[in-house]
Amino acid sequence: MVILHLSGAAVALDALTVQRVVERSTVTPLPRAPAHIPGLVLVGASALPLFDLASFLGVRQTKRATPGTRMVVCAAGLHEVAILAESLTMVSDGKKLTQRAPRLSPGPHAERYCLAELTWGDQSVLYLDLLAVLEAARARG
Amino acid sequence: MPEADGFTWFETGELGFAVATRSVDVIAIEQPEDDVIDLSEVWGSAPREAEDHYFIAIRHGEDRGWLAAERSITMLRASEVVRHALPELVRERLVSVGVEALVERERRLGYVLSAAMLLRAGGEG
Repeated sequence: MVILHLSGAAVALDALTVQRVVERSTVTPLPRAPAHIPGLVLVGASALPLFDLASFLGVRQTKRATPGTRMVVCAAGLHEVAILAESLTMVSDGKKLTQRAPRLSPGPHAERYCLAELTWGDQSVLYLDLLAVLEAARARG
Repeated sequence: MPEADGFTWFETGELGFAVATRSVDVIAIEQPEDDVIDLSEVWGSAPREAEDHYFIAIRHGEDRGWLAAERSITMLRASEVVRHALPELVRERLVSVGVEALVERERRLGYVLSAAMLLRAGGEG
């Protein structure tokens, strides 16, 4: 499992969906871009949508939040995206994560895609269904 | 002569665009009498005040229309760019505004505009 530390929340993704982590690069604006897809980025040989997961989930930004400075390249189904994150943590030992009864999620849309709510240290972590998130996040015509 | 399967690259504002060179009919420096397809409605960066404008006539079948470019127009061989498919997350949005693919040129991304889709949309508009 991989924990992504976003601006104001932490989310966990299946490690099999995470491909690489790179520095944020130049963004090519997208026409009529929704707030959660500010543009496209080149990562290696791929042109990928830049995905602001915190914005999509409606997570309230913390006071000390800074824009994600890293991009986590993830793939699920037909989708491949670069997710903005401040940092990430690889968790190879699932026993270090504690599952708890769901409580109010940190954003209005987060619970819709939450498979479980976990604790990592003293932090609440939402374990997300990435494919469901990306299917819902599509920029329609 | 540019390759028939190459691209004609142009820029408006901060965005790079390309059209298939086989779709390009004429490149002019004079403002055409016919209407110019207004990319600003969708892209928000069509040239308005720039002094150096170029105009590209694109053709698909019997349909013809004009695009405006800023600063320069570059004819590129297909081998000079890397073509990318549209990412699934934004494919529908891009197709709806006449984009059929992405091209990478000198580590910069540009939108490949489909003459057929642009002219069809212009005709419907």
